[in-house]
Amino acid sequence: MHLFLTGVTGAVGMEMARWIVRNTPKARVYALIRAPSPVVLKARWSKLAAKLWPDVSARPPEGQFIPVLGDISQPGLGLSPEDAARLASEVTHVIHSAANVELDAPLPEARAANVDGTRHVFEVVRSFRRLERVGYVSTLFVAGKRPGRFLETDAVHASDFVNPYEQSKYEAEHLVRGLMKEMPIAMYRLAYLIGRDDGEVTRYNSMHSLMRLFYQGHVGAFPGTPDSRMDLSSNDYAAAALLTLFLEHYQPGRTFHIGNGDAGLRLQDFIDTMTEVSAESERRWAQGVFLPPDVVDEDTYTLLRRTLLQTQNKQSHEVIRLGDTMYGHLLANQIFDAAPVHALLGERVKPPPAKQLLRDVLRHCVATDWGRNRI
Amino acid sequence: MNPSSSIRIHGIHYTLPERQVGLEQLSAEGRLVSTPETMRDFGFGDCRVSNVPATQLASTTLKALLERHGVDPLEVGLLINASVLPTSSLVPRGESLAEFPTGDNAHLGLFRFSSTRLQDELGLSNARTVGLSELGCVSLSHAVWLAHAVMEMEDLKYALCVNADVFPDGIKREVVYNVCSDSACAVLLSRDPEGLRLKTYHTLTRGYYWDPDGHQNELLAAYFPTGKRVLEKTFKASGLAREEIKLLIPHNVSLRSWEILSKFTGIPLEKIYTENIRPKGHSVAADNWINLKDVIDRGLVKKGDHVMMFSFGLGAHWGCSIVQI
Ligand SMILES: NC(=O)c1ccc[n+]([C@@H]2O[C@H](COP(=O)([O-])OP(=O)(O)OC[C@H]3O[C@@H](n4cnc5c(N)ncnc54)[C@H](OP(=O)(O)O)[C@@H]3O)[C@@H](O)[C@H]2O)c1
Repeated sequence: MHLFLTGVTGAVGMEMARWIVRNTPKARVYALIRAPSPVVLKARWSKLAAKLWPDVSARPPEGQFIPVLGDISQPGLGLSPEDAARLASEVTHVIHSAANVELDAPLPEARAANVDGTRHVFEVVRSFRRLERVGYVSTLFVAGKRPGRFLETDAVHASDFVNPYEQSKYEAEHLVRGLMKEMPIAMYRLAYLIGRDDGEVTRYNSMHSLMRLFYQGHVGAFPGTPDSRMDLSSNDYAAAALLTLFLEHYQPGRTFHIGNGDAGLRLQDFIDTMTEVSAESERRWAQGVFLPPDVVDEDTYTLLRRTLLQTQNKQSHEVIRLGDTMYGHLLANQIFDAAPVHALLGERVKPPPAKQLLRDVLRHCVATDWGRNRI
Repeated sequence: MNPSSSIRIHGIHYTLPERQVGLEQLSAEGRLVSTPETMRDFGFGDCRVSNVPATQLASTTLKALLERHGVDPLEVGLLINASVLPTSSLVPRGESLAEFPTGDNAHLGLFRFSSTRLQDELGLSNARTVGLSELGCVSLSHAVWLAHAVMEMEDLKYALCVNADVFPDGIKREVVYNVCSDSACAVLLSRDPEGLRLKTYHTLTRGYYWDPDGHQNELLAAYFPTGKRVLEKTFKASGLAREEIKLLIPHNVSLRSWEILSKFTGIPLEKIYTENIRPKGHSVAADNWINLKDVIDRGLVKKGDHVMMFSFGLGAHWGCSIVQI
């Protein structure tokens, strides 16, 4: 396999790189990395390799990973003519994972990276002469505010979106689906990833910011019902499941859901777990000064939100800002069906129990002060 | 509380200053933090402003209460003067009876206590006096609870509790998004079986919030979940179901906060007496008792009904009681 991989420096990409080294030693990976110059490209790769494989003996052999300088926001990915020619003649497999995953990025910015960026990637991929398989990495949250059970086969819907990120990924899916007629593409929709199986957080995202504000006692309420789901999973699981499906169960034109399905974390379990783990290290939780936030209906939350926005309270505003990019999913009462993938992968690749994952991730966040201190 | 207690709330009287100041004027005088529009949206209207010090408001109110119920001041065994603002518990400069100390004795101005002056002025010569402070909005409710407990222990015929607060000139009148009025309210306790019965008083203090500015962010987040739990615990302690409560009598913090708490707790807003918020404003610790008197006078509750009184005091204290009419 000669794999062209975008997004290797991201949360998912890093885990994919680790998995590839462990499981497919013969694979050769062309990793698209943005950098202002070849020197910086090399430095970025060395730094990444040192982070991914601190133990030198575990590092991939020289030449297994070939960093390629490029930027998906540019037509032709800004590849040098030599790199473009080499990729066109050598690449057999593609996984496009690079994206702008900031939930509150303005829509034009999200579209530039996720829709235009994806178009640019596929324009280049179209020139690959030995192409066998393409995997496109998407998100379960393309469901937007569409309520109820969301299936792998669900694609088009008329519901609104909770944030610009998922809207741009929905639009990108539409683009990719259009290309499925001419290229062998499978799509992988991932759950919300919060860290590695052991709790380590490699890239902090909005969920970690919300967890921090929760820990600091700034979250008073969540909208939804105690049974609203939060489909949280680990980077390792996402990477392992995606690559196993890609290599062993490849089906062009199909979409796969990689998440917890019916075992998605209940909102009340999220609150209880956060409360329990927070009390281990924060006396205000242990002493009951901070109380678990209440789960309230949409009307109540709307009124509370409006009221807090009328105050001069910075942290409350921050909680609301984050909530605005996420809570719509709690209100939509969604379950992202993952039964087909669970059936395909069976016991071999299983999602980590969500409560345990949340526990370990929060402990890691506390121990490192949300990435500010090293442990 | 002792279910067979013979102590009753015998009477309530309050004084609201005549002078009313609108939100625009308060804002123009720099006495609001938020805009007048926000305060209006939160349910506030005019606020009451006293031209006389707190100690004088307390005195007028207590005097009227004693007269109305024909109580001989010498039969009162306890007077609790509960103030929210430290300045309200002192007899200020300019008040008659004595010149304000100056020179080497200027510090004695800090010992001019309102409670003892009230005892003297009203002829409550047999009353032990207590000044109660540092309890914010739950001050008067706490005073009533303490007086009740003392009357249980001692053979007292009457006890008086009073709260009077007047915001000093120049300081803001908006306290954590609430517009505050000046007022006084006095409560008389006796053993007359006709009175109101204090059945439950549940409180919760969370000392972490002693710094209302520094810990305001967390306090705002904790406010409703904590309020909800205090209500639930009060119901549990009283053995009463929600349906058995005729009215929830709040203190007059923002109408918006009651709308939210109503949703958090499932107690319908129609069951919460919020009519006084706009015309009377938030008289800090007196509201619950002013409102209780008003609902009785307006015939909104009848003998035997149960009402719940809820307040939250900066500091932070949550207090919730159940009173049977
Ligand atoms: N994380 C989640 O919870 C989650 C959930 C569902 C789906 N997904 C999907 O999974 C994929 C990977 O997400 P992630 O969590 O790994 O994101 P991430 O940690 O933010 O990483 C994003 C990756 O994309 C690269 N990238 C962004 N813009 C680029 C550009 N213009 N040119 C080249 N590379 C660019 C980043 O490179 P730099 O290092 O240079 O920034 C990085 O490698 C995305 O498609 C995302 O939609 C993620």
